[in-house]
Amino acid sequence: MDHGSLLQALQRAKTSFTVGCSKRETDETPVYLPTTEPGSPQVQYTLASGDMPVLGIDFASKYIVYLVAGCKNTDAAVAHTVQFKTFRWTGSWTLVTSGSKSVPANQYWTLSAFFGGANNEVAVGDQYAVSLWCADADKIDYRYKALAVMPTRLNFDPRRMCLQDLSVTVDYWPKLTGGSSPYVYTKSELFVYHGTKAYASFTTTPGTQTYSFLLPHATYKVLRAKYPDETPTVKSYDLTHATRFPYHYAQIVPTELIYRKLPSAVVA
Amino acid sequence: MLRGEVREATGPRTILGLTYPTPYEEVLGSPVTITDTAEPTDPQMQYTVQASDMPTLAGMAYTPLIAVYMAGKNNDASGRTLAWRFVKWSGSAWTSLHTSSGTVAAGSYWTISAFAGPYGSITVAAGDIFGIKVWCTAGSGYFDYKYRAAQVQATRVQPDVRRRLYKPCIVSCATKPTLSSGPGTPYLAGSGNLYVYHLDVQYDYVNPGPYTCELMVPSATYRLLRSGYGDSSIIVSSLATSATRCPYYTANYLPTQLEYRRLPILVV
Repeated sequence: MDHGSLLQALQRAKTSFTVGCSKRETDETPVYLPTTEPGSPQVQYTLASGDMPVLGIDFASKYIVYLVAGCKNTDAAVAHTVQFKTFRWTGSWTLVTSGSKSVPANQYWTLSAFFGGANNEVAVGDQYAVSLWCADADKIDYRYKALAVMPTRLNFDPRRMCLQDLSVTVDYWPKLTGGSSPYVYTKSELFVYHGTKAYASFTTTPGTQTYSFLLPHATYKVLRAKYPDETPTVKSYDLTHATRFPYHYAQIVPTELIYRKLPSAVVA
Repeated sequence: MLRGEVREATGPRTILGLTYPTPYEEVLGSPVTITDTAEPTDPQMQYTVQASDMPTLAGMAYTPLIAVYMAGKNNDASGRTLAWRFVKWSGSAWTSLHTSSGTVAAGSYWTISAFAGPYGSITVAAGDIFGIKVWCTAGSGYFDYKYRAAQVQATRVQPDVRRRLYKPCIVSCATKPTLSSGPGTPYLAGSGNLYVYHLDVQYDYVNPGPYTCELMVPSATYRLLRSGYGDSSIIVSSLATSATRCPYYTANYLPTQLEYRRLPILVV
């Protein structure tokens, strides 16, 4: 094999890497919610380096943050309303979203709050929080929290280079084990981009899809998470359930990527 | 280019024009009165495909489809229902492609637009005979037939017989056919989209273009460009009525020019 052929063979060799995500999860000692908005959020996380996804190779990917908070209406007979606000620290607590929900008697309430994506950069040291309160005293308690950071807009080269024989294997994250009976309400879509638009998506896990030729999107790169990146208007969902707790959203994330680069197909 | 990369030469910019013969149009010298109150054995309107009807797409891969039109008038003082069947001659009998019916207001023109092609696995070749039968169960003599037209079009178009990688590929298209004669004022009721495929996914549509695909690999089945009516659309034939418009017809957006560069990558 001559020098050029050897180089070409090496260039066309498959690259593979894995993606790993971590989580933090805490069952708190139940504490009844204050009757008015607290001065300081009950649920607070500061992102540490260990919270960030481990990417085998990466060029300018972005991240999304899922924060889960859980409560229970301990009143065995009457529904009560929980109110919440989610915040991102930007020198002071900046409101991201707010809402309220009636929690049926003796049921759990779980908030899945989404941060990052779009134009909100996520980095080590960022702080995210949730405030909770209930106008009815000693009826709803706070008892659970969790945090997970996941990648979005994954890219494998500083340029927009065509990927050949791309194989994407996915699973969902976070896989929560705390609470009393953790249950994933829905797995948010992971979009696969080609050229100027979404080309395919993952809606179930586990799974593997292969694409013989794929050109990363100029902005969204190759793989894009749904909340709050592809759908930035949605900042949170909250759910109630008699037994499922936490009853939460999860994001479909890549776990392994295998591909060849096609240097002749770089799009400026 | 990064160190160690091998980049194959991109092919020269190629511009291909796609032309379609002027549609066959005929305004009957003497309108034919529709006397059939039940489906006739033979279609009143028939069209035999000529070799000269085939589009000129030199060196390109494509599959022909045909657009057939039949038009006339409801000469009665009341609205009447017109039934029709779009057929193809099998060599021994008329094969049904689609049947339906619709109401035509008193004194209004009617136009049936019918498409046959890969949708339903209908082949189109020189010598093939297509036809439209019409009848009115309410009685004889209400309708007349006074116009017919046809055009062979192209679907499942790609620049090369083999599947190649194109970077970029710019598609220009136009509505075809343009009908210019008839018993009333020729008028375009609507046009089927021209769909762009990347691999086996319907990636986007061109309507009206020009449309730039940054990097595309044709589908193994649908190639690069797939027409709406007669191929991807389930609408096989339809009726449009108007007091003044005739033919009042539907058409397809068809590719008229492709501009691209080939990459020396074989697609299997």
